[in-house]
Amino acid sequence: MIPEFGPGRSIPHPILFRLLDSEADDLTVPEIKVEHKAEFAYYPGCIDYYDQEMQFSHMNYGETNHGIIFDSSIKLLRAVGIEPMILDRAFMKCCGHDQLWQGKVDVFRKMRDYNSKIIKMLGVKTLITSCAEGYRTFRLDYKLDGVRVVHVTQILFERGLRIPPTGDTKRVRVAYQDPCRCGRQMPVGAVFEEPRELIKRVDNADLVELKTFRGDAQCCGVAQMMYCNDKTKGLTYSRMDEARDVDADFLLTACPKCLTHFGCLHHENKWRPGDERYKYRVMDITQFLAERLPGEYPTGGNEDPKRKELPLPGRAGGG
Amino acid sequence: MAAPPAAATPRDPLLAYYRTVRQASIDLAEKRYKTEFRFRTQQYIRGRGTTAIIDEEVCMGCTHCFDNCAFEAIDMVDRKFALPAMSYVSRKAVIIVDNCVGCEKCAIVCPVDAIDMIPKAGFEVKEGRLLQVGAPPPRPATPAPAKPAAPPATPATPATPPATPPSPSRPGGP
Amino acid sequence: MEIDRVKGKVFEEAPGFPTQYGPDRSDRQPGSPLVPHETYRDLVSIFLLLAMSFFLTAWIVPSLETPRNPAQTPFIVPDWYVLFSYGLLKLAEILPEPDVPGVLGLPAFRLTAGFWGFFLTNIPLVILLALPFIDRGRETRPAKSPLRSAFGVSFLFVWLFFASMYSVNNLILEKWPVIADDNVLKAFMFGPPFLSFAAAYVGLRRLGYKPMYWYRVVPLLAAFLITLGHSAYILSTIWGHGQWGWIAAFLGLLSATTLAPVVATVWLPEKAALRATIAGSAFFALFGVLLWLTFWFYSPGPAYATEVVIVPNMHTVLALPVFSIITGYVGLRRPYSTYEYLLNECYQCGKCHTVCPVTKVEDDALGGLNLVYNSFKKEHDGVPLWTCLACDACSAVCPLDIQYSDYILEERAKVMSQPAVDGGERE
Repeated sequence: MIPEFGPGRSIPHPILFRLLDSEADDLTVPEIKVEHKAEFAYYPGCIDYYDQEMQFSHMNYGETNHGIIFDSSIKLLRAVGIEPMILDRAFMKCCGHDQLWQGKVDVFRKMRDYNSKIIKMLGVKTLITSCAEGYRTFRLDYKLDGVRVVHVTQILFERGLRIPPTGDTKRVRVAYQDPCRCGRQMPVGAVFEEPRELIKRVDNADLVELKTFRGDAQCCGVAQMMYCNDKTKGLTYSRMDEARDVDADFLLTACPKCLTHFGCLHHENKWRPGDERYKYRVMDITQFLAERLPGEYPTGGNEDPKRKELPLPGRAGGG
Repeated sequence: MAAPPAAATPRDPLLAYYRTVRQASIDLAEKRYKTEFRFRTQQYIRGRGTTAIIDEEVCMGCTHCFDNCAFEAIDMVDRKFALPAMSYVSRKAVIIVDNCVGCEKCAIVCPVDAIDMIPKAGFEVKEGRLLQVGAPPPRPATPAPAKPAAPPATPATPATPPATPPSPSRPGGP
Repeated sequence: MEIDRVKGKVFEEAPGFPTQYGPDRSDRQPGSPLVPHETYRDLVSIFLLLAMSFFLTAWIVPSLETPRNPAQTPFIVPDWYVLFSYGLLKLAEILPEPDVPGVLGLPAFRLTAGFWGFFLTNIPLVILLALPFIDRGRETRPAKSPLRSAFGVSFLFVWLFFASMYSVNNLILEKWPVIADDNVLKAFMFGPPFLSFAAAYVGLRRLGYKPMYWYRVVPLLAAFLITLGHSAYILSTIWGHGQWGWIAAFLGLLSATTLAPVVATVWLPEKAALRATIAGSAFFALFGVLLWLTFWFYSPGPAYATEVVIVPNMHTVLALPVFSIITGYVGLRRPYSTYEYLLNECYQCGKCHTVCPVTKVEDDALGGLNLVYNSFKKEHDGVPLWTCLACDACSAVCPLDIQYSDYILEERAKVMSQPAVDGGERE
């Protein structure tokens, strides 16, 4: 391993990555009891694992809520009349994107073969992901013949999701970060316009564009969870500064990884309360839309009693 | 631990399916995470003679170690980062060696593996055991405490998962 | 107001293109702009040269005599660069000459051959002028834009060449009486361009390491059949219409020699196609030797006529095996698609370096050096292997559409001691 720039100790969340890699070793395809068969399938990915990582390590004190993406996606999909099968971690593995880009190609291959087998076995016609990296991996790096891979914003736009008037008179400025993986990196099926259209359908939201957007959008700073150091934080800072320059009230993204990086920096930024640099909220686009859709979360809303009060950073609530 | 709000299982089978799957997903993630976490607790040498050391380049200033240290052995310092295109002020963690007892909690919870446990000054790892070398370090010149001083140090427990808890010690002294 | 402070920084109403255009590109290179600096400089040189020309013409008067009368002075062949126009003027005789009625008070006129000639001559010029506006793609290498390049080869080169040749058709017919008919020369204007278009397209498509689909072979096959028919027609005029047996044998043998490597190149995997091409070329060489021997030992006869046809003339019949060899050769020269060859396309324009976000934050980001090129040369350029975010900002602005992620994937896999995986197919 190259000592200066190699992977290993510099990859953030070593517990998480060891966990995902060790899961790949078990290649037996289990007996899957199909409770609800549908042509659509929703693949949440590692959302819950990141949730656990955050909660277990008390990262951001639960401010960055990953699990809500799962619940929001299901709520939104049901609102457009899709009742998907959920391909959750009980029998699926990690999509393998990070492992592929970190160079652990044999681990990726194992995951790919296993996941492809299961998707074929279940007879899935449309695979919906809420993660941009998952979208790219399933679309480009897996060879899923006969399966249409689609990002959740794409299918929501296609099915004509309408957000009823919220009755809120205060206009909010909403900025959208284009993830690299589902935007610029996709030679086919790039996701640029659909999230923007969905944001525009919220009646009190003003879509504002960051300084670099669509194909020129600057990366959130960390990709494939490779490093979290002052340099990557510098990039995340500059991206979040773009949102600050635009006076955004929300910064939305379509990838849970981007959400992680923005969330971490957002939390770190509150070290001195009152002196915060970023006063806007960071969340996933599915969460934003689902909050403004009336009705309950069909899956329960990922409510954690501990999350209700967010302590300030530092010991005993104050640096 | 995430739990859905206390609600009866909906009668609609589809909703019931969604709820059970979601809860199962959360529980599974938690279970697997905990299992992996246990491996991490066995990763470092542990004991009275160890101290934590932070690789500042890797540290990302998330303050998690700071929040978890029960001995006030970690402090966050402001560092100004000058990069070619921009500069900003952020934080890095530093260890206050005098206070560190070697409980390795910070090393476990660090999300980027920036903290490692190394033998303290005056201790050494020989044949897989952590041994004190030479005379114990001199007692600091403080007024004599009310209780009599603890007996001189004995070799600490080896660096395997501890079967016995480490000998009680007060911070800052043998 | 605060909004005004913000509005100057973002384009709230402007659409965002996937690639960057416009004055606010993030990869804008420093330097002097075209307008007005370089324009003024160019104008100075232009005026200087014009002044010299005017001066010379004022003092040295060219010898202009009475205009040429075709009845009196002999036929003069113009310079080679206008021969194509001359040829097209001659060719315009085959076009109809309708009468156009007068409309809106304009007098009625006739579309004469002269008009058609003028019209045909200006087609290449207009196409050349309009080309920068038609072809807005980023690709510059011929291998990456096979359609445009094949069109250029066949239309701008082959067709104009044969048009130039047609301009001296009376001279050709005098020198080579075997080409008995002027119609043969007219046919030259249509057969070879199609053929060369097909050959160039197929070859470039293969060279651009794109997959070959069956429907792309169809025009190639059509060109082949056209050539075959044309050859049969010519041979029948030479050998006589009763000699279909000889014609069929001759053309059949030639086709087998030709078609086999072409088919092999398109459908077989590389090694087998290589063998097929070598076999085809060997067969053709053998065939040529046989013909030569026939010429020596069995003259005169049908073979003698064949030899007389083939040897002194670059006839269409010869195009068949040459065509196959060219197709086989360029088709089989598909390079390895490892990142080294793909990155080798880089011509060091530096755009990737200006947009890469990592170079903005890494300490040792070197200015002015080129990201892709330096990676290819294994030089440290501020984005060593592991700090790359694989965000594809560099590929988005690269004029050659080089995917830097190819390098990243393969090299990282190598370091982790894995053979690189072949991901999904990129179209």
